[in-house]
Amino acid sequence: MSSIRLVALTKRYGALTVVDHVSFAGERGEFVTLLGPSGCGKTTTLRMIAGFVVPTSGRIEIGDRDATQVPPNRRDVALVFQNYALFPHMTVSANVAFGLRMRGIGRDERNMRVAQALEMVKLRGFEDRFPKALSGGQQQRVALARALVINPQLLLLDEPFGALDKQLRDHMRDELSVLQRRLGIATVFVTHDQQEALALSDRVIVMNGGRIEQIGKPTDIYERPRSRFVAEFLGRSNLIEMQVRELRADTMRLARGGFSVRDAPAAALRDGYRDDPAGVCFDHARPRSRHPRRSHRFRDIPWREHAVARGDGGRSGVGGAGRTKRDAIRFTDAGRGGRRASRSRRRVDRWR
Amino acid sequence: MQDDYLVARNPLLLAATCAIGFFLSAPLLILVIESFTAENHLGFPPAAFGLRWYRHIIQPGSWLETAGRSVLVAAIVAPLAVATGTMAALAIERGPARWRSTLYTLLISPMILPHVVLALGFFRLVLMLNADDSYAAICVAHLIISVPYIVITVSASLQSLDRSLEEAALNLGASEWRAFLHVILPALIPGLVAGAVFAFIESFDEFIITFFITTFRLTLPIQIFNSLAYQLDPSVAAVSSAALAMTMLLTVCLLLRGQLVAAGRIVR
Repeated sequence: MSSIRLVALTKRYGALTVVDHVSFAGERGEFVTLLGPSGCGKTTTLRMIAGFVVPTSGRIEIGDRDATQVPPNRRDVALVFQNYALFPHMTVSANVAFGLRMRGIGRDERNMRVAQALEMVKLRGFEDRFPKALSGGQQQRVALARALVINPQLLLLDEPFGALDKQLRDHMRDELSVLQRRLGIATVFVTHDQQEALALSDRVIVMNGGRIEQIGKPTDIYERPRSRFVAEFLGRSNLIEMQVRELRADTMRLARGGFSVRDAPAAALRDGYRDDPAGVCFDHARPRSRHPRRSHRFRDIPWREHAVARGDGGRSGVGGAGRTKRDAIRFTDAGRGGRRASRSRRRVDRWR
Repeated sequence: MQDDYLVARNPLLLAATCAIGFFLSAPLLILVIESFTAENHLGFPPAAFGLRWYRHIIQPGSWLETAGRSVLVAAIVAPLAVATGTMAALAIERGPARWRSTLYTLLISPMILPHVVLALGFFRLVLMLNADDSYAAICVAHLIISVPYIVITVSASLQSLDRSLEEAALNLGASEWRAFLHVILPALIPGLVAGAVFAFIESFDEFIITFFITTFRLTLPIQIFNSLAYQLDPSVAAVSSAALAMTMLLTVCLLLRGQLVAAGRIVR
């Protein structure tokens, strides 16, 4: 059973398509992150799930029930707003109790559940304070307690760490992660911060220009980006502009460093870079030479199918297969690859 | 820091500020001083001081009736103006965007239109309806000219109100009505109080339209005008000073409340 399912969800404002056929499903207890630069449609997608934005087309299912036409106050989702949106004229406990009051839950049960929720976010003793008398981190905990106390099917988080300083942000991130796992609540998280996305998520959905670029586990997304956009967006990476010297059916030779790609399926090479704007990614490219310091040449990088990138909408200078052409190569520096990557960076410097 | 004010550093600016302050307050000062005269006629400065005319104005049959009527009308008009003005402001701010500026301009037009023109139109209408010299006519007239103040203050409050608060209420299961009641309305209260005070003063002070549509049911401003025209005695000064004191009291309350609200202001 999936807690959240989007089917070809689309939002247009006039001629502008903000969200373009976005489809994904989140299982119970899963932490899904919508990651992308500002304006990529992630927040609009979240607001459609919450019911504040009416989709142009497509379907939203929450807990296996079609919720596309359900008004926001009848959807069983709880949203933690970017600015927390705490009610300024209500105390902490009144804020947390609000959702229960609206659901007509009696005072005794209400008080009990509010106490539990505040216990959960470690805010016992703050019941009678007003939001303005709390720090940013505390305000965020109130927002989280207010959302969780109603036991929603789905928790939505709209860049909730944006307003916190670095240290607090890391702390809150860890707390949220622990809490989310303990409660086993399906969560959709919106962020433009790659680190947050990679640290928190079971699955990351990278969005760009209203479309999904790639869906996968954080390690997949990071180590096997399917497009140049994903490769560039996911933190530090070494993108090296290359000129293609020679392209044969299954091999291409690159100008700089004089290394070549062998054993590539012809179609992959063609799609990967004959399409005009292309990015070719080499995953965990490993130099043949045992002594990279002595010899800075990469040779014969083994081809991997998943390393071929789709076109990403950028422009490259020279067209035509088999001709010289600018391209991009990425060496990931994830996990064990870190040292290797930094060495390759040094090497890149020498090439210049 | 006091020294940082531009006014304090520039003597010319200081002089101009003092002059403007003087011209603004001088008429009021003279009026107030004259109201404490013990003589039979208005004169400045008075030869003798006393509370004689204040005692005179609280005697039945002189001023109390019209003053009471003015307060009554203002007390009816202010809450009505708050209710209608708030609803209008909500319609403007939350309604379809393409009607927004038209509706807004229409609603605040009584503030801009010459009141004489408005009064003449109202006079004709009231005569046709056979409603001249009635409380209903006076109240409706005052309502029309005080609603703009509410519309302006409330739509300003609505604009500065964080939309996500409303969304948070909906998200937590509140109906639109309960979101309004529990979240929007509390945030509007300061604006509503300010608007109510403005509306009260506006109605209390209104002259032209009331002058056109009343014959015997005079309000305070009209009686003041009449008494100046027909019998110049210092009770006018006393009654005006009393009205001035009431208005100032209301304004001070409003300012104090503003400060209280500002002191208790919560992150938006």
